[in-house]
Amino acid sequence: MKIYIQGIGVLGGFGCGVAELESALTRRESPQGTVSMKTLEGNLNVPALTARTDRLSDFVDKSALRRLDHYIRMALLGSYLALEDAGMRGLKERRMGVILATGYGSTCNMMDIQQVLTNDAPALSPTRFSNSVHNAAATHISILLDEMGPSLSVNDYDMSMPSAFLSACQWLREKRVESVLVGGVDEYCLALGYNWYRRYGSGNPLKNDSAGLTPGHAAIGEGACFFVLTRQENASPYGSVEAVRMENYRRGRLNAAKDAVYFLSVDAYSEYDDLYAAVLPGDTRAASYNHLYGILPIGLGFDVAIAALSHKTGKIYGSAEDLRRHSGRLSVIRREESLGNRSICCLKLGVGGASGWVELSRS
Amino acid sequence: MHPVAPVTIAGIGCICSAGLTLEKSMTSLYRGERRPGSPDGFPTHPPGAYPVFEIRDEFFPAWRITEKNVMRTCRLALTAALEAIDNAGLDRDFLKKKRVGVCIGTNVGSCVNNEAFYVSHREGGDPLAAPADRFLMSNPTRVIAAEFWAGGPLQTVVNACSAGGDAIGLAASWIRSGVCDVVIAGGTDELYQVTYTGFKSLLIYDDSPCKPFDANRKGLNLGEGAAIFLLVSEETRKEVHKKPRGFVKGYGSTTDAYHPTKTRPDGLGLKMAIAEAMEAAGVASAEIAFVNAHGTGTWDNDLIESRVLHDMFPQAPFFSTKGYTGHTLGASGAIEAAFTIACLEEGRIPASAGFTTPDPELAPACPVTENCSISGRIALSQTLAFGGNNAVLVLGIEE
Repeated sequence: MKIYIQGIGVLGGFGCGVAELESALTRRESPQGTVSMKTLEGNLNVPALTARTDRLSDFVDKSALRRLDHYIRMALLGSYLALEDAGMRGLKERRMGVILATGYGSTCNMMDIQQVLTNDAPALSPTRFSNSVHNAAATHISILLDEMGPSLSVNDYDMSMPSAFLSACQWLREKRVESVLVGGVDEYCLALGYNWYRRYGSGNPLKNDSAGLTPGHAAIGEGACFFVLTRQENASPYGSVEAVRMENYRRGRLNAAKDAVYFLSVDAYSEYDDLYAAVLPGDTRAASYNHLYGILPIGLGFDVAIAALSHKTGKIYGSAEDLRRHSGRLSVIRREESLGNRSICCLKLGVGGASGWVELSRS
Repeated sequence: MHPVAPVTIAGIGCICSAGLTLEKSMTSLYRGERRPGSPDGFPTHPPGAYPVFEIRDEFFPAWRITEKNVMRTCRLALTAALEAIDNAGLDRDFLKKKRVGVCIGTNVGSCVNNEAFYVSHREGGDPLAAPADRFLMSNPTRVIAAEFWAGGPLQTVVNACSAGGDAIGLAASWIRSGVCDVVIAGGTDELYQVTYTGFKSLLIYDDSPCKPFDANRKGLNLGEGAAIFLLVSEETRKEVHKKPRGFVKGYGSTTDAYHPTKTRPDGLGLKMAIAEAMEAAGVASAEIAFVNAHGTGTWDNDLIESRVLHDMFPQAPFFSTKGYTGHTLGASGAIEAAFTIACLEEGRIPASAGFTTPDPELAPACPVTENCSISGRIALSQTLAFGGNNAVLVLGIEE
């Protein structure tokens, strides 16, 4: 059974929507900003690819957004953009599932709650608590879309996106639902900024734990990427989800797709970044795009969006230059080239030997 | 949704304040024992004002576990997982030869809850820069996968209070579709200051032992625990020498699309989830021997749940076990599914602890007030959650 991508909704440091993502791919850069933070060595500005949610007011009345934090707003905007892109905005779907993945969760809210709990007599706001419940973002999506189908929130750090895609495909194959709105969201917060500082930003190089990566490559990222998946027979220009696999390459070899182009979800935080070259055949054509969306656990979701765009446009966009240091014997796609009939495999190697990939092919 | 094949439950492990194993928990339930007390694990303001159901005994079998440096939620899950594997008569070497997935529901134990991470930063500390390590030490799915060498899909379900039930239902579909030979599935959660303070802030925390479905109910009490199911494929079942504990026959889930913390007044979401689970199991309402209800003791949940049960299963007795265990959040769906299988095996259900006075608004739907014999081999276990999530499992034992 074929599963098609009917719509994509993305926002991040590159901008908002598929057109702005494509523009960043063509330019091979995102407009990088900075975030400020206090460190043990004073105030510091660090590079960051943060997301804006202004466009949410195109879809939702502002009064409905009053109590929703940035994390939930990003998830909502990604959802609406995907539905709009699929031509399904305003349509009442018959039993749509909602699946939301996150690696960090609502980090700003959780930090604020921890702050409240240090008080002698903590008075936690009910709204803050209910927004901290880990399915809060999926809840607000279902409420605003008035969608009563199954809802799933998953949180598996760097494997969150493959895990979400796995369940989305299961639900469609089992015919539990007619369509699935599946996506991921991760948010920047000060604690994550502090992590960047510890790895790359200290004035004392001996305190950095950067594994030789440059700060430019390792910009903090945040954003959301959502997809509308269906099993309709009418093909989609974005292509179809051919396979979703989650394995552990330490418990056996990686069952990699042959003759596929690989989008590598390197994240600059992980020592596993250098293993891609070891687990893939030596002449594999490979690319990475995290210079456009930054470092975040749901990064593979953006790679899937880029793979779908590649199927639509028939071309593979030039990879990040920094991929060279991870690429080993891999054949890095340095300039735009034709995709042809090849499938694209979005691969993430994660902590503990976990591997997850989503393979897209032309419809 | 059309009827689906039942999935074999080869083994079950369970730990909660009622008992450190499933067998001990059931003995305690049938005796009507309740052990609420003040929380020991975190500061409360004022001290000890609201009861919790805490596991006060030493429970973690550290001599059998490699992954020791993990949070309490993971220790609970590992303890229950060991019991489940023992219960199935299997061992680690057997699992190493199989495609094993791990699917765990939790609230406190997900990557999102990394208290050490936040506290260290908040206090101006200088924590090490290894976010992955910090986040993953709190994740029971990754910890179980590492401990038992699981090389298949991993999923941490964070659907609030329905997460444990959802995890079992989702894991069953991994078996049916051939993605895995074995799935270690269930739920786990420890008592936690954020949830304790949060439920108090919502004014739905009873300052006395909770009274699900009672006219004088004032809210929930929190608890902690874990339950793990070992689900196996038909091929793998042939290699398991012990009789299966039971079967996951059907699963349904929906969302109320109504409110972040309130249950939909018409109960439509729950009814749809029950209908999906029953259709998947291919069973009729009259075949349901009993319902293990969510029954938190909160005003809205009990009102709406009892009305739905009366509409859909007028003949089936129902009960809540929250009065014995407290509300174990992400673990509750799994713990109550474990109790459901044990009750089917025993042919008996426990009294609904805390219920004494019928609520005229709920009547004639009242839970059982004493231990009762039941006949039948199929029962329903359901959980409702913040976010309007509803998860329903149809569970059975062998004919």
